Amino acid sequence: MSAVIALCHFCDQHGPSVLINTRVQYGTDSSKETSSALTTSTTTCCACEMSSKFVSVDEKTQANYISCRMPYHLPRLSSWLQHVCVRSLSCEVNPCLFSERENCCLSLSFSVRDAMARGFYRWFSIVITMRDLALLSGLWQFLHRFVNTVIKIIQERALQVYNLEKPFRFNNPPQSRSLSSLTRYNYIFAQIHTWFSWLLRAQTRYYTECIPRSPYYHAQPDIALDGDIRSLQSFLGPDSFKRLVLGLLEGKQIILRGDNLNAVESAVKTLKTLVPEKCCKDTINAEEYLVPEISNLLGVGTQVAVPQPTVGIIRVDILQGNCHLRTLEQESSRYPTYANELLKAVENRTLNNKVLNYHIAALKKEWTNISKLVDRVPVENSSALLLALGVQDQDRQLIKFWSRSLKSVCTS
Amino acid sequence: MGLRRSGKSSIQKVVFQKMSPNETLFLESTNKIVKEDISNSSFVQFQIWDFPGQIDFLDPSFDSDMIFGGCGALVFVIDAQDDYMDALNKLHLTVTKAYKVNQNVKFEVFIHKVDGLTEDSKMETQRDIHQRANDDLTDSGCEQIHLSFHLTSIYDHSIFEAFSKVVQKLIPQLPALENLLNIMISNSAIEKAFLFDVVSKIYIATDSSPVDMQSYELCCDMIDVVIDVSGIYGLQEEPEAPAFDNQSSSLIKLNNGTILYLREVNRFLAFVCILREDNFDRQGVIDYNFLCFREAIQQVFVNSIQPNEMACNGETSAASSKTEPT
Repeated sequence: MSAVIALCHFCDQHGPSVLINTRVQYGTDSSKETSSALTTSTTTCCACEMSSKFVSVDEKTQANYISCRMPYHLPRLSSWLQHVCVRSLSCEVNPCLFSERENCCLSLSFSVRDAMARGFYRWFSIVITMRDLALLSGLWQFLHRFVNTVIKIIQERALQVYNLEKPFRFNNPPQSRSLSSLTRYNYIFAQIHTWFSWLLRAQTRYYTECIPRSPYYHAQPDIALDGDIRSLQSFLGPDSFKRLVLGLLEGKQIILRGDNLNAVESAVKTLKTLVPEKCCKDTINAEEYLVPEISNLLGVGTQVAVPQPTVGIIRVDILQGNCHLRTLEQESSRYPTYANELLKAVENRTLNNKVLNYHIAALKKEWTNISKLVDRVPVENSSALLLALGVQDQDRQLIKFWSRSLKSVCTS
Repeated sequence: MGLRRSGKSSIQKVVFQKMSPNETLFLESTNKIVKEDISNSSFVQFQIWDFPGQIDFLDPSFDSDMIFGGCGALVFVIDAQDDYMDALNKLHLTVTKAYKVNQNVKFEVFIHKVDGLTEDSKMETQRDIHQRANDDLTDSGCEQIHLSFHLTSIYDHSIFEAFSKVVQKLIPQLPALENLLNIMISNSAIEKAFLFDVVSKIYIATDSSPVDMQSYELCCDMIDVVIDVSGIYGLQEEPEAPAFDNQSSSLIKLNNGTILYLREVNRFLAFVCILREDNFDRQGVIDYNFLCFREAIQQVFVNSIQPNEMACNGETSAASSKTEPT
């Protein structure tokens, strides 16, 4: 969000509410979204209503200056504006600069004379919000001078109307009165739109906002949507992915540690789908290291200390968009059948993601059943059975782990 | 607190800023919490917070701890001349929320603007509001919350009386003061005695005989007379010196055979009493008794070594206050 300017007022019926706000949007077609913004206005009294929409387009920069009452289709901006509006109208200091979370705001409140209002005054405020406090305070002088000019014009017009109306006594004055009737100027909102648009345009010539980044910062690639195995594979690299999957299937503890918790979380969620639910005790964003008995698939932030890789532990460090697999396991020449078929399916580009997921689910079920069956049969009778089921030597570790996990959950 | 246009700011201006009731018609609507500190002008030391009725302070974006945490009494103003169903809903929400945050809050409901109602409809309105508000609380399982109701109007003394009762609840030394006043009147043949806060004209204690509105009004008016007269004729070197000082005392004989007698207790407090002229034959005894009474009052406040933390959420209002020996 770049700068947004809003005119707020204290409605005698509804309390603080935003009358008009102006913001910039680059490039996109703005007509659609402003129309959606207009359809959902909640309060209806003539003081709060501003039914028009205004769009000015700067042909050179492709910037659209959009004014409407509330950008309801942008819920975060709307709630922020509403918050700023309440704060600016109830602030004891004027002008006032304040910042909260990632946004900051300059507010100037002022009163306008009205012969029909309680106390013959109505309260308004103009707020300018930005993300960058340093930028806003740098622009303070300029903004303050401009906003004061706007305030003076509005106040003077209203004062003229007030002087005309003062001699008449109003027995039953209306409780709300729109700004256009207050100033007797039908195009007041269009005028405000042009003022605010000009200001938004002019302030970008003073300073432009740029978000500071560390020189070591690399844009982090968007990775691994939940359950999307292929994107995880391309993010980790085929070799690391293969070893990670193997470790997971054979019951090693996997620790994913990274500065991007979203990446860690989605990697954990994706990996989880590869093994039966009962074989995977996953923890996301743990506050400290957990032993394999509690969690064999652990996602942690960089602030958590975790052990170095050992025979039973595989670590993946995801730092600044790069990922690095660390393990002491020797790369085996033969992979379990399930792992082979799984990797083959992932490589097979003729299967789309949905089919791949079904395929993996089927494979998983097949090997779950094999593990259960093998577990029930006494060791001495098993060789024929294993042969019949197609279980080979390299599968034994996997079956041992799976049957133990499945059994422990059943018995517990 | 209260709905918009219920008269919150008017009450505050009339009681604590001596605004004339007619002028309150021209008050602006309140757009922010107005905090008034009355600690340096008055004996009762607290802040009055006046809330704008248009803003919903129960919204989670407001810090309810800040609002209700330090509050001693919450005064909720209801416009009796208007439809009060919305106000009752709001009252219910406000009271339950405030009680959750701070169980020590005293809840006072001012049924306001009753000057426009007839005597019968006043009673009817009070009964109705009382019934509905308490039913709402019972329905939501909050029977332990106690609400006090007062009929008020800024055009007579009822608002001062109601505020007196609110403030009295926040004074921990009240029983001692009442007891002293009881002893005082029984030994001096006085009919009724008040201990007034001079600036706000609210009485912080009275003896245990029932308060008759007329005698309260008489005493209020007497304070006005004393302050106005000494403001004009008092000998003051500095123009800013307060009209009420330690020399202040006054005696007014009414033509119905009663006497109003005022004595200064301290900078902020005045003792005002009503007695029959027949019983005023020995003024010396009364004066002596008064000296003993004054000394006793000083002791009451000295003995409460640590100034007691009290808070008063004035009309629309929260407040933290301290009573100190003065």
